[in-house]
Amino acid sequence: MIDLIKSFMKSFSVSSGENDFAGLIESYVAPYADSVTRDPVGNLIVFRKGADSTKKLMTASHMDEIGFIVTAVEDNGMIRVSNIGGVDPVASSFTPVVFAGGTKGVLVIEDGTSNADISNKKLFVDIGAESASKAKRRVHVGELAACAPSFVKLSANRYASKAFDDKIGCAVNAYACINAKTPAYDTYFVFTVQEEVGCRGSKPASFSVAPDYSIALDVTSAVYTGNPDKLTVKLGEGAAIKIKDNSVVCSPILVERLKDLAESNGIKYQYEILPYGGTDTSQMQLAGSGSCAGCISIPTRYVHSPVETVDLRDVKACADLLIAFIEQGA
Amino acid sequence: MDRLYDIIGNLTAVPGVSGYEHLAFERMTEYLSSLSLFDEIGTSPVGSIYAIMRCGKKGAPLLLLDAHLDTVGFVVTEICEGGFLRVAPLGGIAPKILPAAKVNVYGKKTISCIFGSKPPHLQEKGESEKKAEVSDMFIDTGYSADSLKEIVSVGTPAGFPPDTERLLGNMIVGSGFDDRLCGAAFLRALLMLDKNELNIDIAFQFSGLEETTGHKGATTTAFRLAPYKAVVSDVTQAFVPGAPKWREGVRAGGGAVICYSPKTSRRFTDKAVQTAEREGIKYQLSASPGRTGTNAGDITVTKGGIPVVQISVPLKNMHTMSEVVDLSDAFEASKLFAALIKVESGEVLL
Repeated sequence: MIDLIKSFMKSFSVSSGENDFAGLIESYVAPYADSVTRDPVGNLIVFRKGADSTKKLMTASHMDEIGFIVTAVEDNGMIRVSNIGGVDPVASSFTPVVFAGGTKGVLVIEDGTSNADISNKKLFVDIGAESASKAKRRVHVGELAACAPSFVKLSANRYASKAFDDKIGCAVNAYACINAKTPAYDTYFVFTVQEEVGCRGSKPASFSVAPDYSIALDVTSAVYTGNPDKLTVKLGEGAAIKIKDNSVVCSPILVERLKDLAESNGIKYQYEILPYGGTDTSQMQLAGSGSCAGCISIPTRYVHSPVETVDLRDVKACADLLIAFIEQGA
Repeated sequence: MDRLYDIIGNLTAVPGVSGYEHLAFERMTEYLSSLSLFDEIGTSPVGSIYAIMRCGKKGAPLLLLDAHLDTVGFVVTEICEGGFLRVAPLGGIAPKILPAAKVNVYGKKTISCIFGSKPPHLQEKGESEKKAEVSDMFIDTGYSADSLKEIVSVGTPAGFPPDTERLLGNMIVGSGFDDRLCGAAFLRALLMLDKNELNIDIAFQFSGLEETTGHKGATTTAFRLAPYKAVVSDVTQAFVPGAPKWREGVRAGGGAVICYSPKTSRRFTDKAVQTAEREGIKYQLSASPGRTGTNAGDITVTKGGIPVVQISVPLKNMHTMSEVVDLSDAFEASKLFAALIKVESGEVLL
């Protein structure tokens, strides 16, 4: 599992630029799949035939990460960027970034901006260019950028990195695809695009798959100091079974089933009620005439920062719980 | 370019205020038929017209070209004493441009009217400081209330009169360029092609309800047509004094605007850029970080997913009676659409 995670965390996959990461995931899961397809918008759909083909399960983790897009090259060679997805400019600034084309730079905030005025409208990248013409040879308007990979081991079980959201969910999804024995139902392991810009890729994927049951794998905010948002999830307390977030109330049938599976298989779990945020769960719930939708969340501190922090024991619990559902069904 | 100007004139002449696109169906269908391009023309219950150009080859995939049919406008909310009408806006219209503007009311017959408002001389102290609202304005029809009621009712649409003119050089001015102009650019592109040489079918979609209710016309017709890819074209803001400096990159006269966005297909967008480069078509790049503000994002996630590229035409004075465009930008867009269609067609093996 940790090797899979390490490999995933090096990949660049800002929304609409998920192609390379899709290729990487495919290289891991293809040997275990009955079929692998990329849909018209870039979702990676990995199919494994189940014991009962009258029902379909869709699992979804999103490949895309938040990041930046070049909006202009300034006269002095500085690159003006805007955010893609919910970037926290305080959390992300004065850090190294990389562009899709390989150019390196540092993300800074417009000169003279007071702390109170920091916003995503004030973001620039310094790529070391001495003029606009030199800068334009290295990046173009519309090019994507992301915080540079920053994977670090903090303790025996805990790791920090940018973009665990949702590469860690992809690791859980891929791990389950590789390790689950015969699935109970025909199972579609889907790695989605454009989640960070409005849960978008999962919509056409859900339309194509038309699942009966669906489970998203995504990160959820875990408590660190204090708890002003009244979060329910703690790091190290196991897989988080989502009850609701701002986009979805999960199917109580699935919540109950995931709880029973956790208990009968000795998997540590906790419940998640997130007062904000949205996940692909909401789109899958609306697939066709509707599906029974739930979400297994990976507890994560500092979501949408370059130092998102997870506990490997939670990650494994999420994978074990997902595998239990895939093998034993509803 | 003269042919393009002629098409723009024909398309903008047909009223089609957002939500009332059906009023344009008959004349628009007639005009589309007159071009002798299309094998099939249809309309949707959600305000769209579509026209399909078939290459005649079995199993040809369908490429969608989307521009929106609807324009911003107004809807009558009240018929007042003295032949005045109160209206609500359909789409985003700045109230400050309205006093003394010409407006057509599309009742049982079309009547030419003028927007009025309480003159400064009659305003109470402090009233001029208040932010103007469309509901503060009225339309002066010249009719008596009684005879007006025979022509107009609550719910009757109104809009800026079509009035397209050439200005200096290639600049043109008119109303409803958003987005009839892009529709014209698509049609001009199709006139550059010989459909018998293509390996793909082309659906031109003039979609309804873009300005008011979140792209419902585009997604429903795209759902019905189920294209394998789509090109979406809409107008975009050209740089003007006072606009944020980072928008300097998109200028009237700078060519077609190819837009990168996290909600459209990056690969298809790259292909449009490469095509423009190869064919020597004048283009400029823009980036939409969040909303595209067009049909492009919603068509992308229709049905099982549709790769979309957004190609825009820069425009000044958007949503006014005097929208200004450099015709050469629209013509470059036409050339790019035609070139891109050929590239797509060339990749299809039948």
